[in-house]
Amino acid sequence: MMEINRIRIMLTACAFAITATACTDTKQPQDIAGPAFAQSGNDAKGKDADDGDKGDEDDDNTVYEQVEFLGNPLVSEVTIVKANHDRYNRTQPYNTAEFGAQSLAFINAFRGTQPEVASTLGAVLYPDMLIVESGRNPATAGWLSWALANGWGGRKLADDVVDAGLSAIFGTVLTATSPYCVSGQLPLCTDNVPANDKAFSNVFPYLASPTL
Amino acid sequence: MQKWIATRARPLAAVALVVLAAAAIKARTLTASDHQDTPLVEMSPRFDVNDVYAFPSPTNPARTVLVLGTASPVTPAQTPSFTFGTKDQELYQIKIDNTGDAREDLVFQITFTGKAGKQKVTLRGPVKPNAVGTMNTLVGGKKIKGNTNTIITAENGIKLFAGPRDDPFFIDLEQFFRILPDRRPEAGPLSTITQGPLTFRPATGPNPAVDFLRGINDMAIVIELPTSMLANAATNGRFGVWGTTSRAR
Repeated sequence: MMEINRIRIMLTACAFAITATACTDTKQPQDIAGPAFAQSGNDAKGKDADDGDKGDEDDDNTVYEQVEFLGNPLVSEVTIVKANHDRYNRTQPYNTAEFGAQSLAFINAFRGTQPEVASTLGAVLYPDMLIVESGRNPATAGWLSWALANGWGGRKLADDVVDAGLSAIFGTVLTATSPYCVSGQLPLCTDNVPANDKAFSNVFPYLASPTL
Repeated sequence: MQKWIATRARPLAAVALVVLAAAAIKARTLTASDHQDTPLVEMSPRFDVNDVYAFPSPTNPARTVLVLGTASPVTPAQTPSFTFGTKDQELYQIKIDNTGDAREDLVFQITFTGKAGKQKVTLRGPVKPNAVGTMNTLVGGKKIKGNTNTIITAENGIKLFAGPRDDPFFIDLEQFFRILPDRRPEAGPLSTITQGPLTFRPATGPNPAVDFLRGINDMAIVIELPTSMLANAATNGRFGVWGTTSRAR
């Protein structure tokens, strides 16, 4: 029974991880978000003021309210219960007192006998920002490299953050052994999708052209 | 949602591709709905921040590239008519803490005007925000302005691009549902997935892992600038980066 529960916890964590990495998050009701997102391109009548320079000036008096927030990949989606997601999206990196504790509790739910996993991840993922150590060698850039490898940090397009996240939580990134899997290996420390389907460019804007 | 699938299906000749594409859309949508507070609300994917990136320019390590990916999944059929936010309605921001207190010292503010296919983008920053926190107004000062889907190069060394790109993220989402069918969507092809072994798929073989986001686009904002415009000597060049979206009150 305990074994089953452990697997269940593990899978729940994976669920969060994969949901997270599918880049989805709490969304906003469309009716308060303005016009429908997929506007028709049917403006052939030419009446829109956006054709010329008129109408291009923003209203400087508009007050904008934050509705979505993202720093490190996986943090909120993996370690914050979904009931709190909307509140997390309205927070800022320095609000660690509330959410950091939740993240630690989540990780300790399945790595409780190896508390260094939660404490290390908590320290590198909070405050929740992508940390860049720009004084270090740019060749060492990569997600969490600033903390784990004395590197530049940040997050590169090609970084396999799914495997990195799964391996940190379930694998042997932060411990010599793990009851779940060896980092980067099946069953649950890799999804075996190591790269994007399209190659990234070496020239601006770097992301591949869209599929049309 | 059904409309998405119909739209997506039309330009694709192969039935198999249609099924896969519909499955992808369904999966992403319903995965998102996993986080909804109520099942009834219609979603506005423009507010969805998919991913934030920060990396050195591959060709000039003294420059930093910042990416804010939004709105995925955008299907190929949707892409030509898809828009960023509308005038005075949505604000996209990339925020920088370079003093070590996890509060923004510099912000990039990106706004859009115009209709699909001819939107214009305006970039403010990097500049000190009018206010720290979740309630923001547009900052004054120099603006960079131009057409979406175009590389804009400003005098101060900043490059800007805003437009549809291939979603740079990659994951075997389908196999996840086999591992945990409890999370599968309620309708569409993925809804029929049943419990499989508790493992992701091997890289090769008869049933290999698949990037479920292949051929799916996002709406990306890419900014490149000299790293010196972000770094602060007082913190030895260390800075933090995050992205937000906001709606007009």
